[in-house]
Amino acid sequence: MRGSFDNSLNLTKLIIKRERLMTPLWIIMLVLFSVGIAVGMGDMFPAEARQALAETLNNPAMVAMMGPIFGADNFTIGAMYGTLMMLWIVMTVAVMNIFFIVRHTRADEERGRVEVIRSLPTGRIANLNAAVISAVAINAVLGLLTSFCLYIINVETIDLAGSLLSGAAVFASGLLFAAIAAVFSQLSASSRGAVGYSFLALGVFYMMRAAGDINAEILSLLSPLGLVQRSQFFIENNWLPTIVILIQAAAVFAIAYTLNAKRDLGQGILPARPGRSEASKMMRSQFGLSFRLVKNTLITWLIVMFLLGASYGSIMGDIDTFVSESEFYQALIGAVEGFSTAEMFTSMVNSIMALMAMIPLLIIALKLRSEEKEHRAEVVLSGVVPRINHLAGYAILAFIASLLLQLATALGLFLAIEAVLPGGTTLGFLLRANLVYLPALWVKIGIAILLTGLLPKITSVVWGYFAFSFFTVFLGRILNLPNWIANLSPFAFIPELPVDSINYAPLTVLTVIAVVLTAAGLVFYRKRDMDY
Amino acid sequence: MTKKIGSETVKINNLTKRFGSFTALNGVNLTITEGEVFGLIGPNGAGKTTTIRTLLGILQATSGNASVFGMDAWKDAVEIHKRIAYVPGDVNLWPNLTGGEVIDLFLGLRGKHEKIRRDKLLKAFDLDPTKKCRTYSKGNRQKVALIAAFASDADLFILDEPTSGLDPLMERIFQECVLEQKNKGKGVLLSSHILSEVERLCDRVGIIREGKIVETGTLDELRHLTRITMSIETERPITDIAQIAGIHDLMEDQGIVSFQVDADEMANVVSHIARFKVKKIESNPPKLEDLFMRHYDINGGA
Repeated sequence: MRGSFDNSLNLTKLIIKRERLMTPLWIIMLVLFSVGIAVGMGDMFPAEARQALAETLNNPAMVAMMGPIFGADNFTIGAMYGTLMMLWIVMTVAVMNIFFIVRHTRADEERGRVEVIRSLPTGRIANLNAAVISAVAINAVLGLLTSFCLYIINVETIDLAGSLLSGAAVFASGLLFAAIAAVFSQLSASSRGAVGYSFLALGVFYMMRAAGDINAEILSLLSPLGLVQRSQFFIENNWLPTIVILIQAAAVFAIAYTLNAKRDLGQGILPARPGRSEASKMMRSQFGLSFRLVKNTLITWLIVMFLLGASYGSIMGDIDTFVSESEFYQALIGAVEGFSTAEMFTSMVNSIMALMAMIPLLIIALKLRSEEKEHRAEVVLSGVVPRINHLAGYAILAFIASLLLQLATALGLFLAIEAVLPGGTTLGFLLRANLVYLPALWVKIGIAILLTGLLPKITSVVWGYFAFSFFTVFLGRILNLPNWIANLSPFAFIPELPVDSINYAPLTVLTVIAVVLTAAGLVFYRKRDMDY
Repeated sequence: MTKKIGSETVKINNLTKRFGSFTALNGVNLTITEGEVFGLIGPNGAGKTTTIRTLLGILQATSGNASVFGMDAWKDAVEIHKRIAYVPGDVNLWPNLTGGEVIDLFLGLRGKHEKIRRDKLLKAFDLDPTKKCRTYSKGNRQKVALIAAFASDADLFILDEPTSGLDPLMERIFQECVLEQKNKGKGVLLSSHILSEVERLCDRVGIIREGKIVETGTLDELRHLTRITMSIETERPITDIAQIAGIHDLMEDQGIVSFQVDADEMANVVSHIARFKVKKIESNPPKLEDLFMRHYDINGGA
């Protein structure tokens, strides 16, 4: 096959032109985030505090979540940064790369844009190749900027060698996930499928690492996420993981290229099932359609939440073993007498699970906006559907989904804890501890609905707010964030059972806020023009 | 580039394409010679687009082969595409690029930028190239692809229902563009549902149904295969006409007899009716539409 790569460079220019806004934004946010955290850590943690933190973190629950604590003997700022932050930075970079690759390969193909490109004298693999060249360039810029900025902030122990390795690791792992997304873009005939499978792979790698870090290191080494942590940034500065990941990326890219060269345009390799020939009774209404459109997302996430809950629950057994062995941890537990270790741990898991639940909830709440952008909402609205019902339908679905997702988490946790630690907790407690998060979830749904009604162009801002909450809750456990920052997120007002007790006043206020936001969104939506 | 009049631009030989268990093309044979406008007609799902995509080398034949300019459509796709211009029926463009940028991109990927022709066509098709593609209607997106195609100096134009979004005025401009290319000796493969367009533009027509070419030839040749509609008024009532072979849909209304007759039975019919003193006779040659219907209508036909 001659000229398989012809015109790759021209297509690369096209991608860069199309990406002139999106990617620079991602890069700036990522660099600001990763470098900002490094500065923050330097300011907030004196040596003794770091040392204490290292001991606090060195327990199976935290190791499952954050990875092994390297350099605990001398937990420098660099060691702390590399141990706690690199995993999350790499995962965020992975997300950027997955979206980037699918956007320029399968999504473009699905929309028929690649067809025209391919009818021109461009090579069979040129489009994929252009996306890969762009990904290499983007990850290189990101890696170099990360290295450069980490070095120039001049934080003690964040040295040149470690900064260089951090940037290189970001570059390599970004490319590996770009390659994984490229393969799934060949396998799946839809961009949804390609993104879904890629995220599944990311999730599986995270779980492998979690399981591996607790009791089977081989699993961690097989997961690129576990592998990259073993670089021991700012401690040993081991380049081997980065080199291995680069080789893996090259190999996975080769698979993607081979698949792309062989397959027909528009076709996937994984089979697509035929659908039903008639709409079910349920679907023959506007609400039924809305339900149908979000059903698969919801079911998938209910399973994900259940499994995540169960996998967190399943490490409870190890926690108790650990507690009996560690005087430090016993002391810690003793400090909040009356609560079992499992309960303490669940309180933290619950807050993280509630944040996870936000992802499907925002997808559902923002579904109408994406339908509108694709010109599908107008077809529905041209029928006898009052406009307000259309948006209200998605809002109701999101509220119902919030309840179901929290129940799935509670159930997953309960069953797993029951299995490893019979009698360790009660379903009633777990239900209360999870459902107490609902008002905070509702506020976010309300914001999504309000934006859909009032400022449809910038609905994605709510994802930024979600990311903010994520970091305040998550990092708030490690860094001592000022209260006023934490309080900008509705999650700050949710009592963490059983350590806190339920206080109905803030919950009521949050619920009222959620209702007002949603109602306002509906009213504004009724009045505004369709917007593409 | 040597040009031999009458050489084969496109040759499709016993082409079969399956998607899983679904057979999209089932032994298609098709030849297009240089300087010819070939019309490919057929109902939805008959295999028009699959045939075209195989010709473009973006689908790989399950069996049989397709060649363009004597080169293999799959293996030599890039070489072939240097001399092909393609317009899909459903044009989807990048929302944050302008129409002008996209036209230049398409021309740029060919390596030649024909600024004068491009601007002339922009004017003819009345397209504002400064608008972002997300604001274009279907017709305007189609114009972008058409302008990029006709501004190129391709030797073969492959047009897959290119006018489905155009208004009648633009449709006319499109027809002029096709005729202009034809006069330059360029080949055109036009897949279309607009039969008047095919009738006006095409030298030869192929009818595709269920993945097979069921008929191919010039319009005149095809007409011989079908029936002519006649209506006759005679002084004496016509008798025994129903017994003549090849007569269909016989009707009588106030002394006017109308029927359809197979083209090859025409002589018998004319000599029969001559005996009844013909006062008025009208005959209508079959339209492409009748040909089309005869092949598609599962219950109809011979």
